[in-house]
Amino acid sequence: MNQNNSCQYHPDTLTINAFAAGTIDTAEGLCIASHVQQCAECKHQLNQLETVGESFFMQPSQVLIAKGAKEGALKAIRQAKQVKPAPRTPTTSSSVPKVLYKWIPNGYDELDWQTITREISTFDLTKNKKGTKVSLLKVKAGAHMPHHRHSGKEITVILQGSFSDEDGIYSEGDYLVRETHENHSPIASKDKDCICLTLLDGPIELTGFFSKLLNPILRLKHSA
Amino acid sequence: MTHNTHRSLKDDAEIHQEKTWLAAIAEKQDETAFSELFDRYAPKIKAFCLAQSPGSVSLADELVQEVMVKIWQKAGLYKSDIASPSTWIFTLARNARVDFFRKQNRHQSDITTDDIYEELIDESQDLFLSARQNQQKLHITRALDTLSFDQTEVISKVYMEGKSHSQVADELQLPLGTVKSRIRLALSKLGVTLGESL
Repeated sequence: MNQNNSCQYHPDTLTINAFAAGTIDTAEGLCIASHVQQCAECKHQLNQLETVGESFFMQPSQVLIAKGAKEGALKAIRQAKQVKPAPRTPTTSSSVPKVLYKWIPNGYDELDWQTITREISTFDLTKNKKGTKVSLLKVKAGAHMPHHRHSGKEITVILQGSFSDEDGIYSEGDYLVRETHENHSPIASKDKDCICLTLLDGPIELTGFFSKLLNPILRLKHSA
Repeated sequence: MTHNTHRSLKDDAEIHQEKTWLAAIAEKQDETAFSELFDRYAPKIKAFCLAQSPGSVSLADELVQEVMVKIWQKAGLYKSDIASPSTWIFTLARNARVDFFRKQNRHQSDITTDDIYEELIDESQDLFLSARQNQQKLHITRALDTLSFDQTEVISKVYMEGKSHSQVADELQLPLGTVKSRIRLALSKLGVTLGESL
């Protein structure tokens, strides 16, 4: 996705601070990176927060280096292959952020989406043993997402299209955090299917009458 | 901790020298340049690892080697007009340390730092970017001296000891909110917040 400066919702300074210091779980880091890559403002802030880290890193210290360590390093580099700078990838119309190329090499259409309802499908990127899961969520243009309640923290980064809920309108690049047990009901905008990157700490619970029928399926998917 | 002694501003000549070494590594696989960088940075990398895991000396030695090899391998990717050599090397050390300790933590996901931290450099088409960044760096370095002991302590625990905000709160026996506002206040003194209310 090309960098744009129109993001309205950003990770807060403390989140970027933790990201710059490397103290954040890499699953959450993937969501932050997907936003930062599209947001000039946050990219700049990240660079500054890394500079703060560098100031501490460069403090003089009394640490001694083991004998033979340099010889060992020299030996190692003689066997190591140097990385050549990659040629600039031609800009395509694809809105996939570079950090997600590993999982989405050929655009969203080529993914093996799993259908949840006629209007909603998902694609799982990764999950850890604690139960944190990162997935893509695709909602048909104009579709109501079912009312849902989170049983854990949820992060959403909008990759394509836009959606709105009781609190506002969110568009490409926006980074949203919802805490446990907030209840909300987003609607995808009419002009385009909405694709989001989502991180879930616990399974979503649907709260609408018909949707309740889907709960066991979603939970199953979450623990699968 | 006294602030004035531990952060001497590197002069431009020194930064220029390090940039030349990185270029020599990238272009000519220059081992002498590598050796110079080793002398400068190996102690920093080791101290950085020991700050998170005091006592793990052999682990720290391993990390030194790993980061130095990364410097060798990635010297061609270093963009001298965007970051200073020391900031770039700090990010390599940070990533290597994260991956090191991540491997030991079975709860962590399989996403590596290479997956998330690449491509996040500020590449705005700004002719004065380099000068502007030097200015900001100077500002941050100076402002660090104006932080209180408490503020320096929390920031150092986050960056050097690699502790999450809640780990810092546990260790200092402070409410998480106190730690967070202390960090926010410190960062705003450094001029690196995005105009958020405190």
